[in-house]
Amino acid sequence: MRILAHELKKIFNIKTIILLILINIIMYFLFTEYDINSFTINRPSYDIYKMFVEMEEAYGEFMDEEEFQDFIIKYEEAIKEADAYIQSREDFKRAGVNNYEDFINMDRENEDLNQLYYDVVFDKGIDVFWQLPWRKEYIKYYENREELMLAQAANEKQELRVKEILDKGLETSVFNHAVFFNYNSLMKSVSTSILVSVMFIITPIYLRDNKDKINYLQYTSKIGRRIFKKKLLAGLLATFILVTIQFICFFSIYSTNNTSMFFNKNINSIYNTIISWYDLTFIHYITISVIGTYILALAITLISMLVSSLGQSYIAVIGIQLPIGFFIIITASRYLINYMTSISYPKYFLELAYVVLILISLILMITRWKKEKQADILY
Amino acid sequence: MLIVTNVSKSYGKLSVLENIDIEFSNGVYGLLAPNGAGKTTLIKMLTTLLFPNEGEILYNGTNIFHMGDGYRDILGYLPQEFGYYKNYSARQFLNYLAALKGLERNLAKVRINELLELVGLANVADKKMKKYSGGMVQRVGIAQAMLNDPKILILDEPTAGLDPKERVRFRNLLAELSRDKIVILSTHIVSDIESIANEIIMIKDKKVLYKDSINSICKTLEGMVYETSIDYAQANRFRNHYFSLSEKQEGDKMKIRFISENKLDDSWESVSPNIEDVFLYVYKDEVIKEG
Amino acid sequence: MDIRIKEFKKIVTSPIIIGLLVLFIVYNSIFIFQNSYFREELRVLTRLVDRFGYEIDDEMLEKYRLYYEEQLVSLNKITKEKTSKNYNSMAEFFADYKYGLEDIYDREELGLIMELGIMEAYYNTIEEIDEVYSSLDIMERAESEINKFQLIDKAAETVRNQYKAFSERFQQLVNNKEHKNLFFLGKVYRLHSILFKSLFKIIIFEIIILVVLITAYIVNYEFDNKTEAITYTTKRGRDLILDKLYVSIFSSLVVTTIILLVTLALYFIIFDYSGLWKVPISSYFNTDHNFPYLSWWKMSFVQFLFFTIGLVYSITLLFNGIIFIIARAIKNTYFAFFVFAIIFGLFLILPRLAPNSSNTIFIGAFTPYFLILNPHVWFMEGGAFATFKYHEIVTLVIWALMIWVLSILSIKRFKRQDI
Repeated sequence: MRILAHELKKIFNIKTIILLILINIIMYFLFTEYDINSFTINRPSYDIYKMFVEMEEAYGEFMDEEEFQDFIIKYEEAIKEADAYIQSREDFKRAGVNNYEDFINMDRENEDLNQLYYDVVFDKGIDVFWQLPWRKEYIKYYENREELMLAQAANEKQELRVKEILDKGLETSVFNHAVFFNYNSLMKSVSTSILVSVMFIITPIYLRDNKDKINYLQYTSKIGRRIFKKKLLAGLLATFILVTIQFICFFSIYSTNNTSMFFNKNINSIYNTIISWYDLTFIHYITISVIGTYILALAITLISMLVSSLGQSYIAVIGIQLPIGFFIIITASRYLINYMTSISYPKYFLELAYVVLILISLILMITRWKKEKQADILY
Repeated sequence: MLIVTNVSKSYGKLSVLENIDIEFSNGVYGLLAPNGAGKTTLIKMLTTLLFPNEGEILYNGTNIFHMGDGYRDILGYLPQEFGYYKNYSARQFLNYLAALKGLERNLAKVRINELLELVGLANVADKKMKKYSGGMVQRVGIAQAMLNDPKILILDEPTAGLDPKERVRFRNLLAELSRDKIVILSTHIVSDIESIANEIIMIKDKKVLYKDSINSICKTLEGMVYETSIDYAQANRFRNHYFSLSEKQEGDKMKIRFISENKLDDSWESVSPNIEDVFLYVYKDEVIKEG
Repeated sequence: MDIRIKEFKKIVTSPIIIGLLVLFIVYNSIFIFQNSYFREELRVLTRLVDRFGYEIDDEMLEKYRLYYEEQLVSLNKITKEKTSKNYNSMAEFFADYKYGLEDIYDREELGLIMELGIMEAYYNTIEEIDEVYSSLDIMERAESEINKFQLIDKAAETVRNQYKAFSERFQQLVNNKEHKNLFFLGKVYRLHSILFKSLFKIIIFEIIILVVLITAYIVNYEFDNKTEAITYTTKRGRDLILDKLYVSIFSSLVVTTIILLVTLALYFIIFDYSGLWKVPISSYFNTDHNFPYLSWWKMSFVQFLFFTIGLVYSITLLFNGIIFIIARAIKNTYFAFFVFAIIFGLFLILPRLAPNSSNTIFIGAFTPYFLILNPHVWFMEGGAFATFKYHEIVTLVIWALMIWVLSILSIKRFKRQDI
């Protein structure tokens, strides 16, 4: 335990922590901040979000036929609201636009009418005008949901899965792509920050001591070459601590996006942009992505340690780590963290990819340990 | 008892040590050999950093590589060149190594204080090591080697960087320690060895040449070491005939110490050989090669 | 000189640097090949330019039209034979064949069909030029940029002024008929983006990585190998750091040359630009998205290319200086690398703190860090922050001076520093 504590202290030394914080601040402002701040600003995604919050309050987990009728009524009420707004404005009257129907059929080639449209939608940003097209769209979605869902299946297996979803009625889940897309986009940048941070703290782990010949003292003390394993453990532990802290920070920031009402909603909704192989709710999905990031972080820890134990100089390890990190981060944010369990991948792709990743990194590091046990320490 | 039996070591095709047999029991052993003779290789094998290609090293009958931490627990080692964390103080660094050596925390605290006192670093124990002089760092190294009160203490060039006063203190320390320990020290400094080593080990041509007490080793040159005074003009000719051990200026003459099988001149004064004479004579080929 | 050669050897014999260089070139090659699926189509334009030249005027247009109609007739001969149909344009033709051209026509005929389709696309684009340019309002562009970044007051005023200056240039551009030149159709092939936005950005980042590694490696080589006590006490002494600086500059230029040479050679082998080198870069055809690329000066493609290459070299030197100063100050190469990366990041995010009402917001645009993010609009209209006529040159000069002064201070400090 004491040795572990010592090794952890070496990993989290003050200089490293300062740089680590700086790296994370920069990564946050360069990549993550946008998806946090813009979530409540971006249109129409935030209008869609608000609409779904309303739906969630009224209909709960799924929207059945009866509730759908209510949704149609809401649509009509919204049109009335828009009508009322249009009628309240003199300039519309003058232009001969008397209701929402006229409004959407306006000839926008006409400069004046276009100006009016622009004023309502962009300058004044009246909510109901943003919502209405989507309400209409979502009514269409609901009515044609079987067809739309099946159209997303490209092969037999996918079709089977879609049919299963339709049988269970999961597609009527009150969940939307605005929240889901936002989360995925955030997860990509957060996992990237996490992986970069992990590489940063882990890469010096063996090199730091080997370079300065501290391994002479370490290997000849009672602990001997088992220090190698202790450092391995310390590295994994450090990664675990770091990732946990980063996730705590991230999710406390993410909570400001206020999406918790959707946690128990199935993601296989017709209003969402993923069809999953599994009946996952949003919180399940979040959990899976968190676990996925932990696994990626631990795998990259093992790989970084391998590089560290083989490298002769910092330049060498940076040179090796750059392409490795680049490759892993690109692959991860494209295939391993993004739209996890989607049917656009083969059914067991995700599981297999993670297992392979774990196995490769573990085998490499175990082999390295076996060699280190027998190695002549020349330098 | 530490026994090296029939040990050979080579790096690839380059053979460094061949069929080495040595027995160590309590006492101080001086490992004496010029650079490149395999001294450090032997020490690294005794400290488990290198693995012999052939043969075994046994401690009380058990192979040290099988003993694992049981062996390293009784081992203290000061490498010729060792690293330290520049931003650690001596106390922090010793604490770290105490953890590696498996010392119980409270015991370690007491022991570290004792040792810091012993090596004269108590007053700077909490300063960062990057501010230390070479001699201070070396003393930290000595302290760490003794942390776990080892049964086998192996010191590679321990007096490097120490000033004469420190060196004397260190010698006394070793003499005291050696009663219930095996102490193996490698050094070039013959005076270190002469004063404290019970036995000398010399390695030549990949093999152990001598392992004996200083007296016995010196006896091999008994009756062959002479001193005489000659003119400077004759010096070169003299050197060609006899192996010169040391030369010093005395008035307008040169006093020369040299080796000869027989006493050929009455002015030659027979003197008793010391270990330095043996060293120079044994490695005379290497000296020339190196020079 | 001998010292420098020996220092240079340390770099050349470093497997990491050589390995990365090779890896980068392989990556660039893969990138080029991945984007090369339309390279055959490009030859159609090459042949057209062979026949008509690239300058568009009435005479050329007439010849073009005649040739096109001629070709259309021969296509109609074929279609009549096979499907007994007649077409007035390729758009009409393609509307009939959403799938399965291959079933009806043989290879040669398909070639003609493709060629005609492309010819028509160019023809249509030529036809729309005047209309597009008459409705192109530079000041409107300025307002939309101001809007995009929500600039107000002085900041907005600055952008307006810059765009005002640019509209003059735009008038000149139109008068010169720079826009009326045939070039690869940007909206279809996006070659400007592929080459100057993607490929050059990749190249620049690769060069920076190598420059950082080389410079940090060579500057801290003695400390890493614990030879500083020997090397800096020799006759050459601490002036060795100067040798190291020169060698790192030389090496940076060498790797820059290697990467540029190999990558661009491959690019221009894959994408045949023959006959088009002298087309003005501001050609309307060179429009990848909704707005054409408009250069501040009259430049041909090849001039633009060389100016861009020149700027890449200059930026290489700037980064060489920056990392030299960092590596000198921070002896731990590992931290030096990350400090460099952090400074890079800070220069990208700190300008965001500037108020959107004041001109300080533009300071952030005058850094090499900002510059390398947009190599495709160097010397061009480039949005709110980059539409300054001398944007690139001013950035270069200011930073070169700053880095020069800091390097000298750094070297002076090193000469008096305790080792």
